[in-house]
Amino acid sequence: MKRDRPDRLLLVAGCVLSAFGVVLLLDRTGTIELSFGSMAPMAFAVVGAVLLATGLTRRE
Amino acid sequence: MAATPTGRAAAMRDLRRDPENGMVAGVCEGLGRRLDIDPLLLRIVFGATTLASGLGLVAYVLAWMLVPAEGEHDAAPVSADALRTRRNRRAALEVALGVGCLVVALLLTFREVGLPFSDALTWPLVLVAAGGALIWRQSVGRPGAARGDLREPGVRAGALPVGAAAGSAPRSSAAPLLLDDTDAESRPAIISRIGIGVTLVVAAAIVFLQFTGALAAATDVALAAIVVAIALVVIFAPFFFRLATSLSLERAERIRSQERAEVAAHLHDSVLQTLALVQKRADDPREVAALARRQERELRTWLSGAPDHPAGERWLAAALQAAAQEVEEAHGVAIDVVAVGDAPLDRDGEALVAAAREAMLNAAKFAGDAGAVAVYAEAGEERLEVFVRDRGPGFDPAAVPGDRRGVRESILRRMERHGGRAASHAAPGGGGTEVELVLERGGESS
Repeated sequence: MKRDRPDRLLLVAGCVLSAFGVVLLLDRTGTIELSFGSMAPMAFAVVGAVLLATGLTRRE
Repeated sequence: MAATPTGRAAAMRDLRRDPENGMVAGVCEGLGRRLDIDPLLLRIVFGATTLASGLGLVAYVLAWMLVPAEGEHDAAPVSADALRTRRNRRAALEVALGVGCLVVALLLTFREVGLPFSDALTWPLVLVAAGGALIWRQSVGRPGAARGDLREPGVRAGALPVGAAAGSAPRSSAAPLLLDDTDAESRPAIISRIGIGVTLVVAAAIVFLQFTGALAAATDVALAAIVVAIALVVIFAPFFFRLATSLSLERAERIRSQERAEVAAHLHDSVLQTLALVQKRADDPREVAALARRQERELRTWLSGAPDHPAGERWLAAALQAAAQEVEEAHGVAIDVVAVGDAPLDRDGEALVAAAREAMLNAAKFAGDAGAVAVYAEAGEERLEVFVRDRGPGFDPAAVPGDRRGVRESILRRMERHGGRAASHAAPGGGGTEVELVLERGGESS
């Protein structure tokens, strides 16, 4: 039976948002301490990964 | 019942932002309409998560980028090619932005952890990468060029070469470096793209020199060089401008002159020859009427711009045979054609046949009483050669009156215009004249 290929965009978006959530959770539990200096590159990385996945998906 | 993946994808496709009714980008408005929830509730959720951790803001920005606005893809129907081009362009932009964001994230991380990457190195590298990418992309060709989805280079509306007016196929012209795979509309965009790339690379070099302190020492020298350059520009600009204008005018005049020569040669070969025949056969009304009809048809075809014989569809031997038959019928002189080898005719080849036809006509008119005219053609790998030989008394080309254009325009200059050469001399063995026509294959015509 033929299965649909997973949507790369949704997969990447889900993964990076999950990772982001884990980082925020670790911050909340006190394991790590987040600041603007560490949040800014993380936010750029999230947006960059999603944009890259979107562009690559759209190009196929 | 659970929604299938296809159904979910369709639902995602139906999701649209509503910027007109929304407060910022219409994300909550569109999402609320899609989920049948009051957008105010969604705004509260986004606001609260933004204030709590900033996550709401990130999610909102992501939705802004990923969800299309209402009417963005529902406007007037566009062709599949235009749609694909638009999608590829947007995809390229997204990839570039994504890579840019990741690079910025990496740089910020390096700075945060204290790795020794200073601004003196980072920003020049970023600028060089951006400028180099622009120049590189332009020099190796735009995406899509290799797939052949661009127009034929050099052929543009309203810029047909000289021969096109006379019914010949348009000919591609060489285009400048970096601009040869594009049309006139995108040329400014390409030039500006290259200009931005060069500016970025130069800016990177300046920023690097500034950070390392080397620029201060070079400032005085650079200032002096700039002042001298400005002075030179002020002095020589009028001369360069006049030179450029003069070259442009000269080129336009040369094109006009070639057009006139083509028209004159065509009129000589067709209308003037027919009028001469009409005079010669004035005592036969039916023959005169037939000649007039044939000439009228030929002239109308030529004026309409349709080629008499589409280039590439005729071959040398057959074209010479047809021309010989035409002259034979008109003048009643036997013409023997011998061809060794054969070749398809392009624009230059058609000019060779037209010149050979003119030579046959001259031979038939002025030496027809002396016997048959012989035509020998040879199609080699490197050149096409045609010899037209008669047994007449011969003639001195220098003694031909200036108003007679047959030999000068229709044979000699026609061959020169198309990259070949023509000569007339006494036929070997004594008696008669031989016209020699040579066209190098693959040669460029002017």
